[in-house]
Amino acid sequence: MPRKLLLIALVGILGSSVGCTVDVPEGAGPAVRVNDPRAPQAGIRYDSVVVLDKSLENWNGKVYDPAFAEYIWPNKGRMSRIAVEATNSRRTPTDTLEVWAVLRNRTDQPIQLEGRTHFFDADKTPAEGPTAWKRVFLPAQSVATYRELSTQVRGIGHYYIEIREGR
Amino acid sequence: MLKHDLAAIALMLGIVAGCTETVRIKESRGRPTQYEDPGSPGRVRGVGLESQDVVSMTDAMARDILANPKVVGVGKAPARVVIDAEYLKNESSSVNNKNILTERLRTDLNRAADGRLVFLARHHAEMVEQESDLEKQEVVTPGTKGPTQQPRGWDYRLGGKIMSLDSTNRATGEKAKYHLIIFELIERGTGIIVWSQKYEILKSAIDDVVYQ
Repeated sequence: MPRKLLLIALVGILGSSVGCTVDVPEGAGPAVRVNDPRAPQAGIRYDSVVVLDKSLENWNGKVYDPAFAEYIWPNKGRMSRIAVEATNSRRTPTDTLEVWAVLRNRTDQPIQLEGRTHFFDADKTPAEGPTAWKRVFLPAQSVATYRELSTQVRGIGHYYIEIREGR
Repeated sequence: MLKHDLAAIALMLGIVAGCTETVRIKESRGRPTQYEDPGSPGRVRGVGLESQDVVSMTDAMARDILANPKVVGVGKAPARVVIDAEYLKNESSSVNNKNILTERLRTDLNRAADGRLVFLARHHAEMVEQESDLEKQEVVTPGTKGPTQQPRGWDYRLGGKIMSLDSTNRATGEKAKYHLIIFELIERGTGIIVWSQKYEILKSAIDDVVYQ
């Protein structure tokens, strides 16, 4: 009997000590930034182009390989339908910033894309609201340029272009 | 006799049953009102001009105007511009509220220009004139900035056209509509077009919607 009581007391002490260390989930939780090496694509990569839709990135379609004169799956499950060939920026004659991204359609089907740009100042503070979505038409195996202009002049230091499939 | 009576009753019942129409009320749950992004296509979509077209068009126009050195002269006094629908003609087959384009453009430009351009409120000319008259009649005092100044003349004014082409496939009922929208900034006095831009939209759908 004393051993049983001792055991019960021990369990009770352990339980109460565990209960004291458990956080009480009350109040609004803090918004956190994802900074995990297992999520390398998380976060904003300034002065670059990102593709929002997974349907553009992970495509299981075939492409025609002229070397073998047949349709093949080059990277089944992990092939992107579009390629970003180049991106850059420059100043206009009125000192606003012009950014562009040259996009290439890797498939044999026409694709409609939409792009928008975020502008940041030199300290990576948002300088102006995101631009409106602009439609870009990509015929099969062709290239097209998404181009955008800022409204502000000197305050712009960085850009971030988002591409999604046309709605 | 009884057989005939039964047959007659059965016939009458059949006629009555056939004449009465069973009305089935679809008791489906409605959808509550929800906010949508005006810059993206909404749940109700057709082949006409919609919010995402207006947003995209006016945003692109504002940025393009601010990048044009003929309009926004670097180092020069800010030009005076009138942006309204007075000279924007709707020659399309759609019922379009032209003001929705010009009002949004002027607001965006005015905020973004930040003094590089000056915008004249000709659509509020009556309001300005009324206050000037009251000041001249000494009914009201001058404002804190001193006596009322003369309304300014414009340097550039917006003009343009909205045009469309419609086509329908009679077999399938599919409709297609092509919109061509032209905007121009005209220089006062010379009539020179200092800036112009076109916007083309082609849409097709089987089920169209009603625009008002």
